[in-house]
Amino acid sequence: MNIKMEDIIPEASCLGATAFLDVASRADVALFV
Amino acid sequence: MTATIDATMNQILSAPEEGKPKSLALVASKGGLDQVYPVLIMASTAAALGWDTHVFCTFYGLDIVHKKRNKKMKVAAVGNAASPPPLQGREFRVPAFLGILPGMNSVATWMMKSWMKKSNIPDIEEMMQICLESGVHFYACPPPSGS
Repeated sequence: MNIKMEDIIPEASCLGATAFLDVASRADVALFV
Repeated sequence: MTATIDATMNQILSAPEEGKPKSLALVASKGGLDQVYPVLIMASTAAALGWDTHVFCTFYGLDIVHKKRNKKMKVAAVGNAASPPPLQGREFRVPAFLGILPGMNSVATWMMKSWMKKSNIPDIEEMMQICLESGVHFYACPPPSGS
């Protein structure tokens, strides 16, 4: 895919899967779209 | 039926328990125009309801947070048995094999965009702006590229 991090909008976090899983584990609703 | 819908809506819109807002976690792994709209519609709606909303963008879903690619999203003309949408109330089905013709992705994209415009749904850029202004958190997680 060759995506460089400078191509990503600055508002997006680059913390990765671990940070998201921490949030998702406490979410009321989690969806895979 | 109406009572059930009302009860469900009241439950959804009710004040959060113990002062804690409800939260939504979405994983977006696809980058087609028709696949990104549901993510952004759900995220913006949840954020508008005051929910703490997080969207994890990975693989082709990274196009959502890509500065250039989120302006060039397309609809695939093949692989969707339900496309194109009904036009002016008429059922209209294009034979699947026509999807392989050059330019059919652009036609499908044009149809999808005009459908959204007629339905007063903002384009992807505007939806992203709404999400960001509403406080939706996006996570960009590129897959290993091997390069």
